[in-house]
Amino acid sequence: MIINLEINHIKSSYEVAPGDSLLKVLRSNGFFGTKFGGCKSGECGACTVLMDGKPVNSCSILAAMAEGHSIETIEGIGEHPEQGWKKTRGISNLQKEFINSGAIQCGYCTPAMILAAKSLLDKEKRPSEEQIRDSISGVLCRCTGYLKPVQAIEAASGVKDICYKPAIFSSIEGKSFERIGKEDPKVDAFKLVQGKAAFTDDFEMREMLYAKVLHSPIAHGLIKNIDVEAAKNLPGVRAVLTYKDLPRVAYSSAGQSDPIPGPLDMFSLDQKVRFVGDRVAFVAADTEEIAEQALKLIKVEYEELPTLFDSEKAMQPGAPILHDEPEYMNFGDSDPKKNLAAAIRIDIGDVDKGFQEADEIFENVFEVPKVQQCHIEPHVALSYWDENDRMVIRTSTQVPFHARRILAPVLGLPVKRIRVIKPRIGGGFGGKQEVLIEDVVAHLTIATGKPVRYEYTREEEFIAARSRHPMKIWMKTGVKKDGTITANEMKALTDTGAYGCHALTVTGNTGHKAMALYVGDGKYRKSPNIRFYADIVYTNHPPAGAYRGYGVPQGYWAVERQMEIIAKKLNLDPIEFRLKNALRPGELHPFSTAWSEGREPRPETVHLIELEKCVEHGRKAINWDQKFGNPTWHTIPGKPHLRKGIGVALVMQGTAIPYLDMGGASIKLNDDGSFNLLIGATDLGTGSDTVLGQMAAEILGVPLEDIIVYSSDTDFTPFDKGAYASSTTYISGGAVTKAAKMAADRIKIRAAEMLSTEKFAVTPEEITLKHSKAYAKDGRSVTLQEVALSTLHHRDQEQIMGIGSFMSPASPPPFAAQFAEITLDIETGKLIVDKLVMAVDAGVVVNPLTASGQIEGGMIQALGYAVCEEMKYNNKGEAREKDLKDYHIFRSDEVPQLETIFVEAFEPSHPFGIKAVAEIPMDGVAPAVANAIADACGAQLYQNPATPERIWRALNNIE
Amino acid sequence: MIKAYYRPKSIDEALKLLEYKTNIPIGGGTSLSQIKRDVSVVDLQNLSLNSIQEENEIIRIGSTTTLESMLIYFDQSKDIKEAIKIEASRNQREQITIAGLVCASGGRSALLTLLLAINPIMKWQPGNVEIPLGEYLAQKNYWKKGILITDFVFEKTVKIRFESIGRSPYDIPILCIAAVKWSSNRLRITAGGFGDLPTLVMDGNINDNLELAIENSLLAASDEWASAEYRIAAGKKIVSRIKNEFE
Repeated sequence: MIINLEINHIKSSYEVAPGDSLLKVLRSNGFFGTKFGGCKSGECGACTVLMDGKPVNSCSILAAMAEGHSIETIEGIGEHPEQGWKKTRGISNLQKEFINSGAIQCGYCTPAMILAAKSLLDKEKRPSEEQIRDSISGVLCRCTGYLKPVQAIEAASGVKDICYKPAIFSSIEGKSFERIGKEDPKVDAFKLVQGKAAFTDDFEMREMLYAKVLHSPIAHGLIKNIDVEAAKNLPGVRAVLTYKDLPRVAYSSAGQSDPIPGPLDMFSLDQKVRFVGDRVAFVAADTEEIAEQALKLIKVEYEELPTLFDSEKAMQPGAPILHDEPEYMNFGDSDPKKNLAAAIRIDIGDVDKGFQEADEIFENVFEVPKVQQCHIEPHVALSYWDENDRMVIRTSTQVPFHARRILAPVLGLPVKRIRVIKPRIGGGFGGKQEVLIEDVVAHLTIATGKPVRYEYTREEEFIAARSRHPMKIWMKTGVKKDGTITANEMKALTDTGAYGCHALTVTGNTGHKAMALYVGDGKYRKSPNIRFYADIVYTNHPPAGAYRGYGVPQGYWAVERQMEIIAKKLNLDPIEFRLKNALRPGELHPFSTAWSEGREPRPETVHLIELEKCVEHGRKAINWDQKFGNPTWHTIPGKPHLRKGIGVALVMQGTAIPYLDMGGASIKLNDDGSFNLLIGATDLGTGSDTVLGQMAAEILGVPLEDIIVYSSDTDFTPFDKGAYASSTTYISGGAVTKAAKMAADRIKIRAAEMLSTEKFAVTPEEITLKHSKAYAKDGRSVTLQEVALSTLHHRDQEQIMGIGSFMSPASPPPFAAQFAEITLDIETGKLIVDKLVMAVDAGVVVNPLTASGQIEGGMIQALGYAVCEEMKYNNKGEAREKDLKDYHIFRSDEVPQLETIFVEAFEPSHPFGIKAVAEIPMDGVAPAVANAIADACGAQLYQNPATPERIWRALNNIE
Repeated sequence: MIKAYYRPKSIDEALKLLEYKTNIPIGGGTSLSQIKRDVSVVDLQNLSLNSIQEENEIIRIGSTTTLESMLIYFDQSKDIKEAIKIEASRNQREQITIAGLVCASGGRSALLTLLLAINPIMKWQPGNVEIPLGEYLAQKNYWKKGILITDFVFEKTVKIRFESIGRSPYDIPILCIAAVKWSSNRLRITAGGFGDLPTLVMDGNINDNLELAIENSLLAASDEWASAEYRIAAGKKIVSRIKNEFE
């Protein structure tokens, strides 16, 4: 049917099918600023457009319904002010404030938020914060925690002057930087605020096919028979692949360095299915609809096998065995005959003696759930053969180089014949540290010779992507009456699901980070007694994998609940007790002597720990001293069923993996004095491109806008291990620093030559790079443009460039004090979290905007872990949560007050003194909230999330 | 799959289209993803059924009135606003219509639970049928297809209370209780957050044994989200508070 639509005030005719959504029609006509969030009923709002000025979800409106209405998309809101000779109106004020405020992280939901905010501001010139939060409540954001978007809208409306900079208490003296520490706008903000076609799916090719995957409806079984003839014969179907068609190559989908520290236990397609959602067949067709239809025509006969869902039964004799394939390749202590994907046994000091020396022993059992990353951009990949018959894979990945290496044997191609391009990523949070669907499109491209595109739906994200590992954790702690910890023991049982992706390393971090913070006091400080044992077992649940925090939030739930219970029982001040036993500067990271992700451990001293200052500033910000232990504060007049509570948790994370993680960078000077910075690092919305650009700009003495950052493409950018382990700013930043220094050194040599005269010889050592110029000591200067023109065109021609790579022997941990304030209905267990304060020791803060954005967004993600996020399965292994309605992530209008504080100090192991900041906000919120619940009413929770029923049961001591 | 799209200009035209079994009415479109069979859709947006009017002691809400319009209209009622906000975010409120909500929502719906307590009169064509919402929901699968809901008529002078327990402030309720009190002391209480449809807890007098009524209503309310034991305990506390507030 032909319909007439008015889009951005331009009327045009469109040929559509009656069932086409407005989203489909918009995107197929080049309005790529309208995004697909995997849902079809408007749960996420990434597809927001304005219809007659009102925000609606274009995924759940038929294009035909929009006829007669005025549609506005982000493309109609503003455009880049500099387009050569063409004058434009530039971007809108709202867009400017989104850039200035740091409201953009991955940028995938940004166009939707701007449109929703525009709808409000068009009718309400001076809206309240409540109105602002309500206006964007239909747009889910997993990155920002909504604080900065709200501030941006407030600023755009002129309601109040906004100070975007977080509180920074700095002890750094004698160092002054031009760009480090500045709130530079993100380098990719301009394109993201305009909704430019920057993401994987914003790229289409001629004759592109659409892939779909048939997922297993049963949790464990053998495919006895699979009949694909009807599907193959459906017009428009170009390929149907089953396990019979593909070579049988065992691999791990975990995007990690070589050798992958885990078993090789997956196949692109296998005769055996191991969870509801496992792969059964791949289809490529001319349209998504045909591909979906084809899936329904595939007839599969399964022989159902006994299922295993209880991790405690996984290693018992007679348990169903998930992996009996001969190709299975062990790593470390994995033993498929016992359903054991990995095992860890770490003893530090003399733990048993430590327990003997204790006055009291505390033993408790804790449990943490499986949760989902919920990046708003689903997994999406596009593959094609290029003109050289090389396989090109454009994919939303955190690990392009690992993806290339892992895919090569799976596809039967050498690494050199694969190119992986990573465009902008719409959030990852570890979910895209997985080679999850790239093999699907590549196999289908090999089968058809055509470009193939595949994007997960939100349901597929829940049933067939990865998640945080659920664990059962036993804690045993020996304590003297004065609060000295004499020994601490953790035993973890991890459910890795059907495959062992990240099995060893995630659980390893549970102990490595969470059990390292409290070493004890006095003699125990020098020789702590710590035990960490873990078994990571297979079950017929969907596989777990990497998720921001990488095992550490699980550990801190147990450790920080345990500390609170001990403090309460021994009548100790919970903060003093923690600080008494916490790691201090100059002490060895206790685990560095015993474990390093399956590699050789090397002792590491932790030099910078500002935990006490974090506590000092955090407790002040939340007014701890006036609230904790104050009975008056805990009650609310006229509301006898309500209680206030306040809680704390101290945490530490890591910064990269020492002696392993490596990043590379190259930089070159252009004619106009600008630079191209090429990095293999992958900015998944965190702002890493920006902070890496700031480091280069600092060294080269130019504004950030003169650093053109490109990341990442395995053909064009140097290797980087990818975005995980809180490593990019530190590791890739080290590489950028080296590369920029190399280029700067060369510039100084050439500038010195240019500034030297017969009477005055200028040496390169005297040259300072600043304000896009090279200055001699006497104040004379040449511009970098003059240096560039001279070196590229005029004399002794050369390309000034620098390269660098960085690997660190250190992994300096960031530390933080997390505080939470709550209001609890003690009759029903209904919980409201009122405020979260996090004071963070992350070394030098390169960009306060992006760094605080990481903390705010992380705290809200972690709040979901604390109170509402949980993936559950029935006795057939079928998921309870398949959409963002049942799996609730926080909306803008229900988040608590957030406050971020940085305690800044110089970390000596890095040229700019930095440590990581991205993962630590995931660690402390859940235990701090649970500790606040205990403070409010005495109820002790051992399992998160703190749902109303769990709180009610704890309150009433009901099992 | 949607095979055809119609946008009738009059109720008569719409009714004729809806006579066909494969034709289904759509309001805002939010339930489109639930359609699994081949259908044609009848878009009701041009029928002028989206107004809210006050007439003496009643409020007449057109069937295609959006939840956003209702939110604006009921701006002074924090309980109604709360239920609407739990039901839908800003964008969804622009699309979901009151009739769409009544037809497509289930027992976990906060707003349907509240509407069941208010128990407005539903009107539909053909046949000028007028029926309380409670009666409609009780026999939801009985009514023949092809009807066109036109209005919901609310009484103005009732007192309304609504309380919801979720995992976060605007999460789908695990348990929600709505209560409406008339000046005659008639009290109507409903419970939601579970099951296929909200439950009528009682339609009686404020002096009745509310705790017993809620307990009886929730005896079988165990599901994957909460136990009946918990819902009963929490429900008793909420109805007790509601009673105190009404008294």
